Amino acid sequence: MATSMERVDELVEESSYVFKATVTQLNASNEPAVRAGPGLIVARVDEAFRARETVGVENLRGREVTIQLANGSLAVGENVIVLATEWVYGAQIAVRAVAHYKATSQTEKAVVEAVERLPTRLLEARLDRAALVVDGEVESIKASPVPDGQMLRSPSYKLAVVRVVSALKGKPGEHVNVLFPTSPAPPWRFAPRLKEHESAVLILHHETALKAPAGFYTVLEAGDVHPRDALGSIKSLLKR
Amino acid sequence: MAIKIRVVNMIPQSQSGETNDDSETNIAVNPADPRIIGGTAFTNIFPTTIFLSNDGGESWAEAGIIPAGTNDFNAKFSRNALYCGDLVGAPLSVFRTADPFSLAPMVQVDGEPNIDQPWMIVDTVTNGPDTGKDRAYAAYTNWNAVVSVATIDVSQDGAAAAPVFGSVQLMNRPGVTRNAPSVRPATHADGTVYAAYFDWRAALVSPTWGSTNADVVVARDDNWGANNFQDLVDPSDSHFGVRVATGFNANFNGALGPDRFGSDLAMAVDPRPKHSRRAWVGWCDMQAGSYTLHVRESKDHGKTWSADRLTIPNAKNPGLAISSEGRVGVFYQQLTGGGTRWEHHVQFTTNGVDWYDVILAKTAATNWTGDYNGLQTHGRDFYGTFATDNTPDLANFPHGVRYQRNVNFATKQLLDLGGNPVSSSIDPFFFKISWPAKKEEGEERGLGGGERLEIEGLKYERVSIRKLTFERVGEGDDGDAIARLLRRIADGLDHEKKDDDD
Repeated sequence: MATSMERVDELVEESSYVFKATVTQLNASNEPAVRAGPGLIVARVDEAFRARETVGVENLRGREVTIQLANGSLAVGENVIVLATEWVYGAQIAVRAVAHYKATSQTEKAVVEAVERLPTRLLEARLDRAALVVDGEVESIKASPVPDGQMLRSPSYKLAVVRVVSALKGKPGEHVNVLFPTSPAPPWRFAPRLKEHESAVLILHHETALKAPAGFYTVLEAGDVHPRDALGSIKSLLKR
Repeated sequence: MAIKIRVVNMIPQSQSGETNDDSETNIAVNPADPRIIGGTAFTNIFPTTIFLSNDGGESWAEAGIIPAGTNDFNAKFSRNALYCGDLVGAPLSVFRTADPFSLAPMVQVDGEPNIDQPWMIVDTVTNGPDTGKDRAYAAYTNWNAVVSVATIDVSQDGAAAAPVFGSVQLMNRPGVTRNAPSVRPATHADGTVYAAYFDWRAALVSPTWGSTNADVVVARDDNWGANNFQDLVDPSDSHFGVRVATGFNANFNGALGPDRFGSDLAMAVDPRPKHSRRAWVGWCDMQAGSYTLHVRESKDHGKTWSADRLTIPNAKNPGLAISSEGRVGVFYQQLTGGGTRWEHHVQFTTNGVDWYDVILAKTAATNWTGDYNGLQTHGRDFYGTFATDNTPDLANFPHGVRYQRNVNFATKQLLDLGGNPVSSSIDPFFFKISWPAKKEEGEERGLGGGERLEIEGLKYERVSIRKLTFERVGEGDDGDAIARLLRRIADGLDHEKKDDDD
């Protein structure tokens, strides 16, 4: 039984893999670590729309993958569009389907459009959550005034003093104080590391968990810092 | 020395394109079937994956069976199940599965609201009325209070449908400011459980938050943790846990090359029957400006401790394990080359004096490799994991290496699934060091004759042994006995050296 298309945007966001495939085996697995059994199929990927960057859309296309279905059953030769999360990486790839649809031009169009909308949707949500959005330049990097280094998972903040070129959301002064993590450990491994003289669009947040002083903002995720050539698209999103 | 050394890059072939720093590794060998092995490392896959092998570590898959993301996690096998201690945000979750290859999500069996560095140890009881039950120990520092306190959640029946865990606080000395994140239990089949931890006794100063006055303490429980780890009293102050070393500079959050340090600790107990009195502890501290590994031994149930059996400068991430023959393995990574290279060592000894050094890898020190690595034994064999630069250069691996991910050794290049170059990063590596059976070991050591002989790192010349036959009766350490006999022959002496071991 295929899934309804109503929540396709949410399901695409939940899925690290989105592809169109042809079922080649039932109750089977092509990944040695995955035991064959009911609810599993092997399918050849005919077209890939979204994939982990470690695999890549181009490298997923043409590959056979093992799929654990969320519901329903399929027949060999059936064409489906699969939205799935990661499950097992071995010699082959096995995924857990969060939804699958019978492959028609209509469902393919709806899914492809949802994939294309995703980056914009995520950026819009981030901008909505932001306390400030500025186009600025990092003037200096200093030691953080926030005492945060007592635990292995502490962010080990540093302070970037940012000169505001223009304010895109909120009303900052000429400068804003931005704390950014320097710890190499989780959960800060992918946090942005600001550098002196770096020009960027900064999506700034108030950090409450670590009691940052008033007037200090944070960038904690890679998506909080964008190159200046994204200025136009961010401005247009903020005007919506 | 005819030991077998196998090193395997754990990244699966289907993840050939990955460039993540997969750091901070650990290992879980199934005691019921050592072909089944688990491994942990931070990957860029969420929720969290665990590395699984069902062929003794030759091939690995990453399986998304841990139902939450992680800030710190490691796993251990009992004979009944795989357990994973997972720092999910700030809370601890202990997850469990009886069959990791079912690939079903693990189930939570214990939790704490606010902790640091979970460390899982499990053991299955092999004799007495509780035979078959899992003793489970989730060690951590407890931040539920204001400061971090060394704590172990103990279950006497971890494999039960709804296991009961009770929290045991190890810190009990007045004047202690807090405990460092690492707490390291080690179990023996007779019910002895040791636990090592750091007491920090001086005020902590930003930005490093390390103590310049720290102790390393070993506590002991003689009944699987049921005695609240109060069976070893320090005679100098009557508090629980003997202070192995005192007053050193812990320098938490210091830097060693691209890595941080400050809570490096390892603990092991001799698994042989009637050998639970023989325990080893390893830790790192600042010595003359160098972050230094110390390894010490106790032969009396932790009451007294030796001087350093091993001292290694510029080293971190110690691992300790003892084989079924009493051979001690010490893992560490040492910064060399003026801070540009990591060397990953395992040193072995049977007597605490003679060491045999195996260098597993010599790699570029590029990015963060994590706060610990894994070392475990099964029988005579040592299993471990470490994280380091993944450049496929055979010169970096003195004993060879197997990659599952796509590589070109000729060009020293990683390749993605499409054959395109991939930049180097940090990968987890598995290793297995297999020691030959004792009889084979004797033969390999040239006991049939020869002019030169090396045993346990000691070199002998002008050796002339036409025939030496013997058969051990009862329990004992062949390595020590053979070494002593050969020394007597080489020295031409006929004396008895007192053996103060069991």
